[in-house]
Amino acid sequence: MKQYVVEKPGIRKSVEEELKRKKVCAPVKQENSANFSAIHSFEEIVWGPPQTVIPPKKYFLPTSENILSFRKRDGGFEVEALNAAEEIVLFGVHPCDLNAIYLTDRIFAEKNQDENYLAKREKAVLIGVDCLTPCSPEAVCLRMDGLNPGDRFDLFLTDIGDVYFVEAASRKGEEFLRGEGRPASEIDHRKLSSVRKQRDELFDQEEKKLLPDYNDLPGLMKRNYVHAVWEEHGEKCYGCGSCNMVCPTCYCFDVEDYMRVDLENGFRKRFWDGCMLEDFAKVASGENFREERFDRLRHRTNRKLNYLFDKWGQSFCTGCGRCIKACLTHIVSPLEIANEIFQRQSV
Amino acid sequence: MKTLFTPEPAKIRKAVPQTEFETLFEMELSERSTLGHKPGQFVEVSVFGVGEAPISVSSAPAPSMPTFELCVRKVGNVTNALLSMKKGDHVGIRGPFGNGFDVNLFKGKDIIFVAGGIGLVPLRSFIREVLNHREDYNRVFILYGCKRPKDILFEDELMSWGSLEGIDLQTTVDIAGDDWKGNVGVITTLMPRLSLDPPKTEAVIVGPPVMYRFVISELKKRLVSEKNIWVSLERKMKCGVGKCGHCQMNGVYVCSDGPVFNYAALKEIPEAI
Amino acid sequence: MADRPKVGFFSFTGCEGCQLVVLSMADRLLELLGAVEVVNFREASSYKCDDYDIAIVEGAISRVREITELIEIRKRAGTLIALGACAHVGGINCMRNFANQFEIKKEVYGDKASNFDSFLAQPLDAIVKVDHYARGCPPSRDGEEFLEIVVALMQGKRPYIPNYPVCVHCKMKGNVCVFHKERPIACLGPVTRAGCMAACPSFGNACIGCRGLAGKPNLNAHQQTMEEAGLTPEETMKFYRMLNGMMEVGK
Repeated sequence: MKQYVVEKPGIRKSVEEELKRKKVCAPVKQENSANFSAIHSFEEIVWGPPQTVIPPKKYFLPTSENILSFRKRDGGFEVEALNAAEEIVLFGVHPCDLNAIYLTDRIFAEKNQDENYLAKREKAVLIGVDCLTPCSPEAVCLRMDGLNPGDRFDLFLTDIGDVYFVEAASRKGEEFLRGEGRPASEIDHRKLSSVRKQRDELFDQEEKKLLPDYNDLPGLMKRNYVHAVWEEHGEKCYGCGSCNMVCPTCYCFDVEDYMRVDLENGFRKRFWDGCMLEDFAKVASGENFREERFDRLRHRTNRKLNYLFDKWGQSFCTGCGRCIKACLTHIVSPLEIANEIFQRQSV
Repeated sequence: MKTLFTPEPAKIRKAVPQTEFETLFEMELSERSTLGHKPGQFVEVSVFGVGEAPISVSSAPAPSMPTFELCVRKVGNVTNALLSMKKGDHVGIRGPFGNGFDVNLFKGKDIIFVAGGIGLVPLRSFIREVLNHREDYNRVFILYGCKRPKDILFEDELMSWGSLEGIDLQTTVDIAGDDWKGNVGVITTLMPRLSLDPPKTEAVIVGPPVMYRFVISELKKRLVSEKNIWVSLERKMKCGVGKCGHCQMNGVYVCSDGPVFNYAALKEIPEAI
Repeated sequence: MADRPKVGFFSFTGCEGCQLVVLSMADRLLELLGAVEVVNFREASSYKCDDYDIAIVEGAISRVREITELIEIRKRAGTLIALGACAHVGGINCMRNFANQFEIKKEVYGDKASNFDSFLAQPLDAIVKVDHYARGCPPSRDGEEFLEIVVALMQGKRPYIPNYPVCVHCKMKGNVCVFHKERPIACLGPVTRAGCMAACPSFGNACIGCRGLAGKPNLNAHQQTMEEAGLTPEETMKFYRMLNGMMEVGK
């Protein structure tokens, strides 16, 4: 990984150059919140808080995507695979989302490669921005190992005063810079360390604590698969799937066919689905393998803190806090569920 | 361009109704010389405009034939549409998917096949494979249970299996009229009739969710070891390739980690059975 | 289903806006007219015929005469689709059900009140079996969902109608939850069935529940959410009754 220091106008220049050629998407203001959207000028970008309502996963796994078109022909069907992907620059991605994108990349590239996700992913340049203040009262990124993105980006910017400390993890990232900036010096590195130290101290003060040991989360979940917490929280759960939709690492989808009125032309569509929704595990014959809301809440929490943690070696909750905000009955936070179980088992 | 979700064309060569709700289809792939499946694997069948559904392959592996069989029960949109289709109609196929049975583990062993209702469909693929290579396997027991006599699948074929030497076929139904001369009762009532050699026995169970627990407990009573018990499970599936999440039970994807599971491992998965 | 099924549109107590939505589908409507034969459609034509495969019925039932007419329609039609909230859940008409019937009639019809046979408003399925519901007030997604139902019927397919709450689509659209706005708005989205792509919250308004309840709605949780937004349980109930009064009798 290469490190540079770039003057602030240099970054602005790079963004403006990209805007001439490509679609650039970044967090923009939306009422009292923010959302990722295509921008037309550098000024639109929201750096830091507030957190976007939904994560940037929508650029790789669109809320709804046609994956197949078909038309009747010679007694059969002419079938065409669809995989629309455009070049985009994703600017201003927070570390929690960079980590989440890294994790979903693993899922879609594993074994049976999902071209529809990967093609979009490959055409994207990921430019991350370090969070120097928590982006919402719900954020728990420091606790869930989501605040440090490692090298999970093309370019990553940290504001170290009057300049950006820039880490470039790929050629795509270097190209974005267009030669702006100079290699980082010893002094710059020290500045970065001190900014990050301050950052960590602030986050440590502000963010809710995780009581159990992070690395024991899968174990804690396994030992408490049967626990009153699930029923208690399940009783208050809407089963509305809001937590699934806003989660940067929820990637489940449903598939349906749609036919035009002529009954000759149609398409196959995949769209977001969520394991908290009632029909998610219900088979055609009517059997529902996770019928109760508490079953589904347990499943979702275990996916984040146990099943996928076990498989990929890290929590699939990156602490972005979106589900905690979205949940109108305040029951879904993986961190708080873990805390509650931890406290009650040690009584 | 082809993607993970592109079905390949196939044609219905034969459609033979089995019962009121099930039809046996022979499908023919037009772009491949063989499906190349193992017993216990499934395919995703597309009826374009209606959707896609996972269906177990019910014919034995056939390395040089572009045809294979699917026995379909009408329970949802896609299967309803399939049952209204006829010879010459076009469908799409993806797969085969899933792990299937590793037949090598069963060679030289006694095998008990326990099938409930439509569970006979994936087992038929395995049973036929065993019959095609009869000398590789030892004794074969086939236990088959249905709700009523008219629900029995592959009736003629069952009779022919039963008449073969070294194959013990037992059938039962839950409810029957006076014209039924066979057994009446749940499938576990057939178990005491078998003379088992437990250490040399592998049991394979496929049926409705309620059946597994009872059959497994009966097998354990007969001293069949947990690691010699195999089941194949049904779940909601959309993608068939371990992505969409619907078939997940605890940390396991049924479509790609299964649908065939060894019971010794399966009993550690609370959502399984 | 027949190659070109015959379709009849019928209207009971309501504003007839549902039929207008169908009529305003422009080119989509032309496509539909190529695929079905419309034999009865008061809003569009004076031609009438009593031979139809699919009956599409809008409006709630609130007069004695309407009961017999609806039963007659049901007898003739192979398939009956309830079009819009009034037909589906009774809709706004059911607000009268919570007042004194004599007084309310008097208020509307004055001293002629006794000439009118109107009574407690009811959804269609309080009287007859309904095969499919094209939900919403007016029918959702500018009638697209209604069209999807008709296409599915022609295919012999069960139409795809989500049973989950509006929140799913509201989140997909990236809306700021109306409960979280600078000035929070109480919303029925968490207990209302999705399918409209969160039409009202997407324009900054509350969901008023026009698609009826979601599958297994958590009404207890919702009451608490509404209380946190400043509504008493009575006010919440009043909000439900605006369009979903009949849910209290198990709909």
